[in-house]
Amino acid sequence: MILVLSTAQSLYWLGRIAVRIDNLCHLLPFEDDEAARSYAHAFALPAWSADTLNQLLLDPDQTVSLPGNLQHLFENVQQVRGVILEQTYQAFNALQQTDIEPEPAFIDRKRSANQTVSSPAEDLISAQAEAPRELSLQLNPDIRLRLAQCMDVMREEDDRVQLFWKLGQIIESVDIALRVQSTPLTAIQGLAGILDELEALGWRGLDAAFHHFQQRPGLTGLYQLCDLLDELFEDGP
Amino acid sequence: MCSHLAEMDSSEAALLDTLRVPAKISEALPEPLSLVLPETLPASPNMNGFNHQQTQQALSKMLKSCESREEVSTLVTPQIDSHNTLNSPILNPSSGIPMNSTSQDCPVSPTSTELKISPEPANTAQVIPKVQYSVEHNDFFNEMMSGDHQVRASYTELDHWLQLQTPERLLTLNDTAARLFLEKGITFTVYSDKDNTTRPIPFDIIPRIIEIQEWRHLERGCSQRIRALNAFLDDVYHQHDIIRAGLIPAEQILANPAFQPWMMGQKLPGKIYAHVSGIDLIRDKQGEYFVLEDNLRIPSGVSYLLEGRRISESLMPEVFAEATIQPVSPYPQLLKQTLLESSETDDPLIVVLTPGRYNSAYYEHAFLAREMGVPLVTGHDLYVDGSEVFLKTVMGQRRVDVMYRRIDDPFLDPLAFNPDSMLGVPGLMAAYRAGSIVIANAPGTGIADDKSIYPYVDKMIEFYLGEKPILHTVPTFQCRNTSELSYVLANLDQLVVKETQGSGGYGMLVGPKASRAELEEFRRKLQQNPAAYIAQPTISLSVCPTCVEEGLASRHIDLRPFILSSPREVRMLPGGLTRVALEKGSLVVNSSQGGGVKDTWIITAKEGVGLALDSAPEPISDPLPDSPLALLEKNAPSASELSAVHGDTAHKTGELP
Repeated sequence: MILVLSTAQSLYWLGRIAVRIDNLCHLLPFEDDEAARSYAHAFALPAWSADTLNQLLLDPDQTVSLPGNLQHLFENVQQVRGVILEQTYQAFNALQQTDIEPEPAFIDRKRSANQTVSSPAEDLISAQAEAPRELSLQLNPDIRLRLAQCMDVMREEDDRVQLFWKLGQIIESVDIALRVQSTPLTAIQGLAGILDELEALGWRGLDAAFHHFQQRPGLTGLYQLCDLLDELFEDGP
Repeated sequence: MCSHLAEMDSSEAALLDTLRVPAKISEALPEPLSLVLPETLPASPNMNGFNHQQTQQALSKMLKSCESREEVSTLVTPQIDSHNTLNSPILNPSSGIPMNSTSQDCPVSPTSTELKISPEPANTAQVIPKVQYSVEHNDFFNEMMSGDHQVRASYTELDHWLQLQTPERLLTLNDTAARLFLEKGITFTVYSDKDNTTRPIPFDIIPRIIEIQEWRHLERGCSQRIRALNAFLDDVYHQHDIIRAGLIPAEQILANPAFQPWMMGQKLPGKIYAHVSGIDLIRDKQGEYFVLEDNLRIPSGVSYLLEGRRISESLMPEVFAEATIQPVSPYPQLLKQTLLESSETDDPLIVVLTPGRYNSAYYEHAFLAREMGVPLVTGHDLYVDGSEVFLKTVMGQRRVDVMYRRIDDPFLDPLAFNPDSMLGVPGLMAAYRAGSIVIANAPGTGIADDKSIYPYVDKMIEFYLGEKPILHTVPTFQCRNTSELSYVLANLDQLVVKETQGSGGYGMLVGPKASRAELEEFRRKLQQNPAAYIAQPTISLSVCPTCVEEGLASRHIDLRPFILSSPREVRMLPGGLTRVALEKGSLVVNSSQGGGVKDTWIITAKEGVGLALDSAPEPISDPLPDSPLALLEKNAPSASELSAVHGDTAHKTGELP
């Protein structure tokens, strides 16, 4: 298969966003304010409680949200439509047709049912004084199920298609792990294998960047590697 | 056969045959059989989904379980109350399983079916609602039914299949087809909607069928037509023989917005300009085929044809098993072969150039690229270096030899055409002029499918091929001509008026259906810019049975076969895209304006697929004695006349290489 650079880049981002969505589905809804604040800090998100983080991550107008990422996913699927199998497209299409649950229904054990929702500032102030608000939210389990089906069918794709898809998945996995202060050794090993395959295609310079990253696994090293990938996606090997 | 069976009418016997009721049970059935069956099988949801198929299954199971005549009588004897209501536990409306309390295999339903019967024996006419298709009137040629209401031979197998269906099942099949199209993401974008709405393509399960001999006639006619049009294009961009022969006014070609000066003098392999073409055909009341228009720029729709066929095969396998229908699946490989043959390079690299995912036909671009196994690219994936076009791949740059472009001429190259275009490849035309790349279809083909050129195609056939046209063309009035404009204005309410550069059914007037205000508005447009319009008499498009709520109804259709032309062969896919106007009485078949598509079956004996029709046309070097080309010898214009025309063109177009 002759794989166009821009298509390869779309496959890469397809892989990254798929992992991102899977991670969000795994975490949502946040129920603990401390955990939510920790996550928000790790990903530089403007949220300070479980409620505000859930609200943010389910807001379709926010690119970082679950619906926002799903939209990015489908845009990339369209970009790669000329290379993926029909069954693969149908799997992603089925995911696109799946509804995320409606906006979360907030149940406040202490407040009256008629009280309007407060502003974020008021919410922060009152958080210490009053009992915490209770969140009732059910994320549609079909989202994660259908995403898993998409990942399954991607295994039937051409090797070259899978190469860039996996590259994206691994990069995103490493990114997430580093942000939450863990060292993803397995993922880093997998990344090494992928980069070897890219070297065979003529993608030079990645080994040096990866070696630097391996010495001190961190976001800086990872993003230097990602920047190099972006240059290669733009100009080619 | 017992006596009462002999007295049954054919419909009841047919039902028993369908149910495969054992002979011994047949004898035990009470008469009339209609007492057993509901008078009308409900097809509407308010009967809890009770339907014909469930009735058959229930009755079959019920009768098979009976061992004796007495048992049958016990089961089927209805309990008629004083209101003549049959309170029958025979059939459970929700499961279709008999509610026989004596049978331990059958679950007891809390409900029972109430069937109204008359005290008299019910009419023994067919009680199963079959699909009815009646010819309402004979104003249009009916594809399925002849004038004496007989099913045409080519529709025999389909008719047999329809006889076994119900209106509900047909609608279910149509809904299933729609769902499959949606799952596959086969959509199109309606640009006229303010939101650029993306919609699934409306597909009707009932095919349009053409008998093979009829199809051969169309093949010959379309092949002839495309050969003449390719010859015209080569002439237009070289010697201008047809202009010098006085057959077409020079300004109608050279001042035409679709005329592409970049193409002047360009030598193309095999003189093929339109590698992919779609000839739109209609039938008049007598069943004669007419060419409605030629599409030589970027004809689309073949993907709907191919996917429609796949879906039809999956939903109607029994019909495909009975009938011999020419396959259409080889199209992508035929297209690839055509493109390969168009290049003089060994093992050429082919790409499909798309404007991107926001284009209404993006699905088709991706589909064809994937099926051909070639890259789908946008302008950003390509660049020109040293008069060659290169593709950026993950393994480095690859030279492109053949480009199947799905971008209109003005957007192909911002250095040559529209400078604002972000879709094309800067410098592409320079590479093309250098001969390093084949572009299919070639730039500038629009001059040949312009509606103002359409009236001359018959002359082209005679002029370039020395042949009589095989297919009819619709009489066309050129509004640029004063006398013809006068006629058009005087008869506007009876004509169809179209923009010469229009497409998609937009910008046209259907006189008989237009309001007074619409007629007046078009009158003003015609008077302001008559050269931009042509007019044709309203042709009564043929009709074909189409699924509607009530069953089948006639809807107007047209046909777009796809023709592939290479220097070696002209190939026509055996089966085209039938477009159908889904609204009753409508003549507009375009999907963007309420139209849908149907599968087209070419019913054939054992013949091969995608047969090559003709060899590539040989250049006309020796004019036939009676051919119009001989006129050139007598009527060649002077050099000063030619330069005056070109100079005038330069002034009008303002854009020369």
